[in-house]
Amino acid sequence: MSSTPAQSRPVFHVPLAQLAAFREQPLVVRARDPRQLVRMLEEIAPTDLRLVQLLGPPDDMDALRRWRPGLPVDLVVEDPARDPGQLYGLTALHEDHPLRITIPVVAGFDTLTRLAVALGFSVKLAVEQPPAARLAELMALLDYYLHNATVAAPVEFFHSLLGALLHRQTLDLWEIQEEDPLQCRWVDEQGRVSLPGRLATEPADSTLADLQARLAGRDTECRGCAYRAYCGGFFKWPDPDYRCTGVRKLLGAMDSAIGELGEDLAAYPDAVTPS
Amino acid sequence: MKGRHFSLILLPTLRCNADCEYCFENRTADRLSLAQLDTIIGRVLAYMTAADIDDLTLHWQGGEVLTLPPDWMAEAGARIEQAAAAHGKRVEHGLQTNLIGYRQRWNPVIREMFGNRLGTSMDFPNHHRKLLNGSAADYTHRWERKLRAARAAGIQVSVIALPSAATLALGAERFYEYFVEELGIVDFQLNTPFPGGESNAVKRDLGLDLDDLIAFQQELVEIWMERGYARGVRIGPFDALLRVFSHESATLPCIWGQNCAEHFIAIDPRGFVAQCDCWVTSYPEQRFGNILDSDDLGELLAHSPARRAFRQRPVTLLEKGCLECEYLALCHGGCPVRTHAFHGNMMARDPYCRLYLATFEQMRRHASRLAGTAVAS
Repeated sequence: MSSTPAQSRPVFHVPLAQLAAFREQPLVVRARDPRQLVRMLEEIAPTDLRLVQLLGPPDDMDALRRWRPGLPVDLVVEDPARDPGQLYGLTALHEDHPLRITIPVVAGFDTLTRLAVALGFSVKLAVEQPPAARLAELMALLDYYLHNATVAAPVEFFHSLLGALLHRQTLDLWEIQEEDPLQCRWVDEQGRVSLPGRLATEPADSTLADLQARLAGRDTECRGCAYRAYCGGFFKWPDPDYRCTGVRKLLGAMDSAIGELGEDLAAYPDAVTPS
Repeated sequence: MKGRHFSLILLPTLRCNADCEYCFENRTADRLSLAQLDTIIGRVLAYMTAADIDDLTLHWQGGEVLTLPPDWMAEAGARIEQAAAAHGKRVEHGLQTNLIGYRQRWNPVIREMFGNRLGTSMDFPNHHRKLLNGSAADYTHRWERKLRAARAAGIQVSVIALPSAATLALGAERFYEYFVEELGIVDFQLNTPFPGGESNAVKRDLGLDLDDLIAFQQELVEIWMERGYARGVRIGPFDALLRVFSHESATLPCIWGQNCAEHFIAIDPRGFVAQCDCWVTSYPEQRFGNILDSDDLGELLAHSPARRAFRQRPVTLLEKGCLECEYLALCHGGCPVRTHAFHGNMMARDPYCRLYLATFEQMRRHASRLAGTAVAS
C-alpha cells in the first residue's frame, strides 16, 4: 500500500477539512468519521485518491462497506492497548477493501499486531525512536513474524526491509514507512504543509540528502553502521542523540534471518525465491 | 479483499428415518412446503442483494432430507434456481444425508442439483446410529448397502465420522482400514462428539479422554500420511491443515472460522433462524428469530441479541487465553456449540482446545517435512 517509489509528485496527506484545497493532488485523506469521509469524498471527488485513513479507528465502519470496493483503507490505531477485540468487527470491511492496520509502537502494539495478522490484516508498525522495552517487544514480534507458520499477512517495516536485505535492493526505511520527503507531504487542519512524521519540524523544502548530510556532520552512530543503507538515519529523528544499540540488534536479527534464508536458497537453487 | 459469499444450512424437514442416540436435534413431523420455501428463499436473496452478496451455498440437511419425495426436491431446486436468476445470484447446493432412504430415483436430483456428490456419516464401530425400531447392526448393514449403490451410480460420497470410546479402543489402524480399505472411502472427516440437545445416557458418555483422543488422532494422521496421502485419500481436517501450513488455499472446518456468525445461518422447516443446524432445533433460547414472521432477514439478524453473543464470542475469548495462542489464526476459540454443550455457556474456549493444538502442531511438522522433501527432490 505504500506509494510508488518513482512517482513525480509527492502524495499529500490531508485532513477532510483540506480536501477541496488539495483535490488535484495525489492524496491520502484522513478522517475520524467514516460517514463524513464518504460524503465529502463523493462531493469533492479528488482526482487521484490513493488511500483513506480512519483515525481511532471508529467503532462503526459500516459507511465504508460496499463503498468504492478496492479502495485501500488504512485504520490508524491510536491506542493499541484499548479493546483489541474491535479488530474482529473489521473482517466484513476486509471483503470490500484492502485493509491495513497502522499500529504505533507503544504499549500493547505487539499483541494487537499478532491479532491483526491472525485475522489476515496487513500491518504497518508506526515506529519512532523506541525505548528498550518496545525494542524487546519488536524483537519478539520479529521472531513471531519470521517463524510462526500461520502468518500470511505482511507486517511493515519488517516485510519490505527483509525483502530489501534478501535482494540487496536500494530501499530504506524512509520509503518503506512512507516518510520520504520526496514522496510525501503532511497537511494540517489549517492547510499548513510540512514534511511527514518525524520530520515535521524540518524546513518543508528539505530533501533526504540535505538531512542526511547534516547528520553526517555530527558524530553519530550512523558513521560506520552496517545498516546505514537501509536505515538512512531514520531512527535519528526527531532526536539525533537517540542511541541505536537496540535498533541495530533488531536490524541484525533481520539480517541474520536473511542470511539463513540465503543459505537455504543457495542449497536449493531451483526453489522459488520469496519476493 | 475476499469474495462475497453466504451459506445457508436449510433443514427442509425434521423427520428422520433413523434413531441415533446422540442426535442433537429434536425431531418433529415438521416439513417445509414449497410456498414456505419460496418465502424463505425470497427473503434470503433479498438479504443478499441488500448486503451485496452474489453467491449462496445451500447446505441441505435434516432431519433427513431423503425422507422427502425426490420430486419435491427437484421442484424446490428449480424454484430456487429461478428465484436466484431473477436476483442475479448464483446458488450451489450441498446434500448431507444418512443415506438410509437412498433409492435410484434420487439419482437425477443428486446429479443435477448436487453435482453428483453427497455427504453422509458413519461411525466405526457403530454403536449409536440405529434404524427406527432397529439396531445399530441393521443400520450399519443398510448404510453400507446404500453406500455401495450410490457409488455404483457414480455418486461421489464423502463421510463424516465421530469417534467414540469404542473407536479409541479399536485403534486408528482398524478405523482407517474400515473406511479406506474396506469401504473405499477416499474423502472423510473426523469430527469431535458433543452432547447437544436433550441429555440422555449415551450423550453423558460422549466426552472422551482427551489424551486418548489425541493419541488416536495422531496415529491416524501417521497412517494416512504413510498410506493414503500420496494416493489422494483426504481426511479432514488434516488435509486442509496440511494445505494451510504449506501456504496453499484451503477451507478449514467451520469450527475454526474467524466468526461463524458472519458467514452462515441455519433455517428449520418452521422458519426458525439460528447459527447452525446444531442450534436451531436444540436450543430455542439461542434462536435469532423466525424468517417466516419477518420479511427482512437483515433486520432480524442485526437486532438479534443471540446473534450478537455469537459475534462477540471470539472477542471475549481473546481475554481467556486465545490472544496468546500461536494458532489463533487457525482456530479463534473453536466451536460455540461444542463449548455450550459441554460447559452450558459458549463464552469459553472449545473443550477440544488441547486436541486442536496437538493437531496443528502435528500437521505443521508434516507440512514442513513435505516441503523439505519436495525441495530436495
